[in-house]
Amino acid sequence: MHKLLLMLATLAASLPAQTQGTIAGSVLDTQTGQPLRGVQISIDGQSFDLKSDPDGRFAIKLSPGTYKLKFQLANYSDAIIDDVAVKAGEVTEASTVMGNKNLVTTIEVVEKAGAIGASAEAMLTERKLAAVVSDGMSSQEIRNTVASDAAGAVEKVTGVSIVDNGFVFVRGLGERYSSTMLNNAMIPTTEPEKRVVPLDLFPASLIDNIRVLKSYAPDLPGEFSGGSVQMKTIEFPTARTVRFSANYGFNTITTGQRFGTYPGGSRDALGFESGARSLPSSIPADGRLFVGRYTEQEFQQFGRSFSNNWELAPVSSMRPSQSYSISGGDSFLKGKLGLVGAITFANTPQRTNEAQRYLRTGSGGPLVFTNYENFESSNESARLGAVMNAAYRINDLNKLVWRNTVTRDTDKEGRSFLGYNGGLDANIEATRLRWVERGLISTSIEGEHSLPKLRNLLLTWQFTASNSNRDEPDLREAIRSQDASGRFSFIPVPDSGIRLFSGLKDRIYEPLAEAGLPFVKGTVSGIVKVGFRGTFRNRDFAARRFRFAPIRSQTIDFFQPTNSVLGPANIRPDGFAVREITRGTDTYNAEMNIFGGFAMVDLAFGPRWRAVFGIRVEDADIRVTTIDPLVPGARPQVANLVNRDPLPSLNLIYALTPRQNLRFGYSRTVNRPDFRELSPFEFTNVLGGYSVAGNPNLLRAKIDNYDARWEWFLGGDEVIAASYFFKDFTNPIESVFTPTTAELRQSFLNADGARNQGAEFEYRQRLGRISKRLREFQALANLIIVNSDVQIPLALAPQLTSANRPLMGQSRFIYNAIGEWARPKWRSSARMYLNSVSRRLTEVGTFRLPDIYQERNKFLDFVYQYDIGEKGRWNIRFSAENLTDNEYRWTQANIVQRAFRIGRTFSVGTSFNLF
Amino acid sequence: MTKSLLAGLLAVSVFAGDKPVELAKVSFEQAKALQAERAALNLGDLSTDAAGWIWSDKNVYRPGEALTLRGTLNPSNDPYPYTLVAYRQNNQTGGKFYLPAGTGEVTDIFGNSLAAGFQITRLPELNKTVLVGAGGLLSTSTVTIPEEFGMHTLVLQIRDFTGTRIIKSMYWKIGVVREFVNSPSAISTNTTWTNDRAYRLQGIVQVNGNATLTIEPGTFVIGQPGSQPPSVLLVTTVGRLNARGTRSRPIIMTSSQPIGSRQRGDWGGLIMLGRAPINDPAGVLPIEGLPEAPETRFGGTDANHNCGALSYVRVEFAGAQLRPNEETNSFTWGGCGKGTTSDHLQAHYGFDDAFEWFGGTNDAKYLVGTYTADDFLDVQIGYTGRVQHVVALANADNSNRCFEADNYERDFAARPLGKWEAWNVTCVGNGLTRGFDETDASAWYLRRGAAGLYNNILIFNWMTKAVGLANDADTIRNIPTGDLALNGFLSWNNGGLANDVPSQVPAGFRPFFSGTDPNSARNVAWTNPLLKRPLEYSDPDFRGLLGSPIFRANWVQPPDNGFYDQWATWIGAFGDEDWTEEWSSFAQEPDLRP
Repeated sequence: MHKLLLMLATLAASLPAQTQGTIAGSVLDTQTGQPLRGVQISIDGQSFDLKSDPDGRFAIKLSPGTYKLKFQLANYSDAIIDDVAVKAGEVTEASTVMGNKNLVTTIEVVEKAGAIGASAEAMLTERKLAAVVSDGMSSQEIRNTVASDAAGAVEKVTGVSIVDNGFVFVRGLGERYSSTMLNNAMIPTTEPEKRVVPLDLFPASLIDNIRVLKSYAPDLPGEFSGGSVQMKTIEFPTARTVRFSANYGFNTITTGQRFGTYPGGSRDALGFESGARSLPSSIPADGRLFVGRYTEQEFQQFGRSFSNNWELAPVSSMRPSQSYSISGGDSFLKGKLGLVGAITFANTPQRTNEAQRYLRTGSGGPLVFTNYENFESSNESARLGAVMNAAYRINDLNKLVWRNTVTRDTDKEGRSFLGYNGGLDANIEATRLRWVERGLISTSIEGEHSLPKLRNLLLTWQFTASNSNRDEPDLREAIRSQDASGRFSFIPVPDSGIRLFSGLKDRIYEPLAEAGLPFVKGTVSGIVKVGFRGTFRNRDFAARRFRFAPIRSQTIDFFQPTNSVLGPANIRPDGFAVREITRGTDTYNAEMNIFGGFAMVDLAFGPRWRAVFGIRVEDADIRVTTIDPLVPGARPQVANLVNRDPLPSLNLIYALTPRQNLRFGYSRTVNRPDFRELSPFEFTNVLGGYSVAGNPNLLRAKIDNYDARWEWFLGGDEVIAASYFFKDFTNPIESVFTPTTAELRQSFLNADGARNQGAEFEYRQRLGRISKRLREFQALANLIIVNSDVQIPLALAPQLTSANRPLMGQSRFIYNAIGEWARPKWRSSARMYLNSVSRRLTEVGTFRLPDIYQERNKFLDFVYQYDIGEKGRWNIRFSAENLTDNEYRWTQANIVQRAFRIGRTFSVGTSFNLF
Repeated sequence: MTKSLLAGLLAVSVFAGDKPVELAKVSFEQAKALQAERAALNLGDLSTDAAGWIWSDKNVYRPGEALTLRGTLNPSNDPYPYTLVAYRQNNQTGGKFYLPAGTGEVTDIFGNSLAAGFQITRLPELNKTVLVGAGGLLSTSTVTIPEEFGMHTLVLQIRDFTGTRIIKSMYWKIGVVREFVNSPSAISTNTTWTNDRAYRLQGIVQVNGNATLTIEPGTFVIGQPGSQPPSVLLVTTVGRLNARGTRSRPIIMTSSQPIGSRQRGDWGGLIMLGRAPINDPAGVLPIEGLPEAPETRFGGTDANHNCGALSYVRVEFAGAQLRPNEETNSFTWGGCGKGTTSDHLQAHYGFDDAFEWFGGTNDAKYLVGTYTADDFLDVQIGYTGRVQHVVALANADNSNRCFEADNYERDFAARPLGKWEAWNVTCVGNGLTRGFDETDASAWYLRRGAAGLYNNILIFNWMTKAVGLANDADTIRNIPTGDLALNGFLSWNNGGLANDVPSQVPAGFRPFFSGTDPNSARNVAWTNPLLKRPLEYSDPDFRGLLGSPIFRANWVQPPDNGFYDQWATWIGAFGDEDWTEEWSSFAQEPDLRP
């Protein structure tokens, strides 16, 4: 009781601080974008002991009101920000740039800043000063969208689209040409056959900002072409924050509808497997189950030890989706130590009902061979994430940061489809039960040291260790077919009655160190940087496959429900027996070690020119080892690729005016084969089921990138920009499908060449500029137009219908249009968001079958937010997602190959700030 | 049969193991009288309806090992007098060793010499009875394997009562070897596998580097369960297999598992690849699941490519999965050409197809498919060869289709068209009403633009309909061009359905079966073929009974082009001669379990 009183007293004592607001921001060099340390900041003409830190950052608490900030630093022209509004309990961002007097004599920076759009403005400032072409989204912007994860957020950035489950396409280039970095470190993947990281793994509430770098500089990893997505987890608060939020979503085709789930463990809803799906402990881990090694009785025992459930147990009315998060942060030790953390959890059910059709070539042209009119899947995704970051400022010159990120994403899917299968020449019904757990844990420690004695040499270092995993235990599939009398019965075809267990672990250790030496000589100033980054990745993947195969099919009544057909009573020496069908290539480990070193110069000469140029040299060693763990003494099979690549680059920036930049860029980058693409051993993809044979002769692709951009920063968070890019690929790695005696088989080759060019436009303006009446409105729009062309050597893939085609997944245009409205008086804001992605090639046709295109789709989202209290501590938010509910549609010539809708989602949410 | 004649026979009970076996001895006079009665009743036919088979505990022995021989004999109510002879023959020297003494002197199973007169008996009923081995009927003492390397045949003969004429023989082939040899994974120089050794296949064994692998008659090749990739003998496009067995010394590729518990899919199978044309536009295709290399891609332009020679070869218990969803056929030919020899081949207990052709032009004759889980004759990717004399038998374990013909799965209209020829095929099913894993397990199943000339096809007791058709339009369009024709088709008791066109033929094919235009099917009969013992699975006899319609004189005659046996003017695979005798084995595996 006493303690409680004491706590209340403490809380009361801290209340006066609540009536204050905060101004925070950073100060950067106008040309190089380097943070400026020791800038003296005065407020309304009064001098305080307020100076920017080595990051160029500052923060101060003030009573509500409007202030004028002045920034002063020796050798730099002063900068002034007018009308900085401070509100109780809120942080107003006020960042600026300062010009070096030696170079810039006439520029006077006067900005205006308001609380809204401040973080977007900060992003723009960063973008304006960046050495490379980039676009991005701030935390506030992410929060204003309906996006629940990083994939949904990054989709709104110019020239970016998301294909499949969170794979990012930048400028029409597929996921293999995009890299993802979290807090400036490469992160391991959860995908068994790829190296890219699916962005849907990162809950939006953990992300502070996302930048997409579109041109290259030598301090970035050399595997770069479309773009590099740079995510930063939440930053350190300038004031104490604790925020709770909750959100409930109602999907028109899911919530309250029949949902095809299946019994699992008690913690399924949280996304944790409780053992119901694990491989039975009686199954030996060190050897295959095969006849001869074990007796029929043992086989019967093995077969009966698997959990016997192959059927859906639908719920009649599915619950809404829900998500919760808590985040908080504060600084301690007089601002020397900053701590920030967040935890988020979401459970989202989604049902879809698809039609799928597969074509074959007949004498009269393409004909529908397989036709699933009723392809129904029910997926429940549970997502859990947490971030804990700490920063410690030893003194003005030295800083340490420790960042930790954990994310988990689990999908529980029940799927069944019904329709005509041409291969079996029968109507079939297939039921699949699936559980996929993906997770990432990453920790990094970084330091920044500036050494005034060594001409202000700036040293930064970082070490990141990340670990990702993917577990897919007990994937089950059973197929039934319909006989002439209309009854369905289980059919023991080779892909019916199968169970698959797979697990992936991918780890990256990444040390990096950079040294930057600033210099000023006459009208030339800049910074020379050298650095090293080592990316050491290793991966283990293992899978085991089992099939329940009939020994004497006469002894079984196949018309019983699947759980009875494959039930314990039928698992016997003359009924069904479990057979292991694990391939020798189902287990592999892979390593990729990249040593990258660079030297670059960031040079400002005269008031208008800036050049960033340098070279990076990367040594890469990729090694894939396939070994059958179930054969004692099996010999490992190794595929290896070793390369050294010098990667030059040049970025030129010309300031037309202080607010307008012209940018030109050239760079050479590489694209390396993924692990399995190199391995010649045929393996069966655990995800798609098709066979893949790598190509040990693959070369890494080289890409020459040319960029030009004009950008006009109108002030505040307003911008107009136009860009042109051209990319010339040498030996691009393309996937081709070739027939075998069974299924089509995927393989890889170096195409003759590919070209990709396009233009981007961005527009973001407060409409108050046009008419006072519209001052509550803001318009944002961006557009990309892309044209690409790949030439596949026809001799290597003669079955292809088109040897000349666009890059896979490239849309001719993508646009986003956003209208924002905010009326502070009503404490309300609203946002309408329109996104359109034009048709894109998703599968290359073979045997005179046309290519498959995903058709153009349009999406419309709406968000309305209302602050319940004056202080904006309690907020309510309504959103409507996918209002158009257009059909996702794939076509092959005139035939709809695949179509489904995902329904509209209406959500209501609230968030509450404790301070 | 007359009760008076059978009365007073001397019944002798002999204990074999723990089961009594009754041997009814018959005197010479009684036998003569019975024989006279039989001649009057059966028009002098001396054959017996008795079914039987013998087997030992292993396929391959080393000298000095003990032999256990068992037998099952079902007299099928045959009351007539016979004599019984058992011997082991060394197929290298031809030397015969008669049981029970094991010497060269010809005796019956009681040890009576022919000069002294064989003991006449009624046929005993044997049920997995030990014949040789502890407590055996013929030899109670242990018999050990002599140091005579190579193939030996154990034989139990039913002779007429005089002991001079052989009525029926039961055979069991064993190998006597110095050692088991683990085959290397690649055979790149000319190599001979001799029959004094047995060869274990470890994973995929490739014949490449322009080498020829010669396998001597009477050699055992052993596939091993459990390896991944599975045991496969793969003859690449730059290798050749010369496996010419003989009727007495077939080459047996089988499972390493104990007799009685071998299963489908214990090992992979035999794959032969060549450079003859296929109808994929690429000209070459890989076999899914095999290591990727130029020589494992089949197809090309050499219609006369020679993949090698297969004669008297059995592939048993094959069909392990090369990859998930993809089992190995017992015999696979991919792009093999006319230079290839294939005759007297048996696919026994395969998990996939018995015989599958992926394109190519090679011919094959005298094929036996028994108890395969999938189809018996599967052709696709533009196969254009010729096939004659085929018997397919599905037991209660179930199979799918007797014929599964495609032109090409991915392009139904692909050229060159898969216009192959099949003559004299007998398909006998189990009378169940569904296939192993197909609901439509029709016997003669055409789809995906299939073509071909089909002649003298006999379909009896199949699982579902006699005729199946899918992707109708692309298949039927081959009829008016003469690329799809049927002449000689006898169907009886299939799918438990009526014996008529509406019940046995899908709608799309009915005009073809009932039409009068010159391209329609000819010589179609819905009548009982009157076969001898077609459903006695472990010891069937598919020949016609007296009066069987298979011998009607108007069945079409095979062309005289050097490949076909023109004298096979009957419908189905058999006339009077049983060409499956001695080298093949029909015994169902559970029937060989002690």
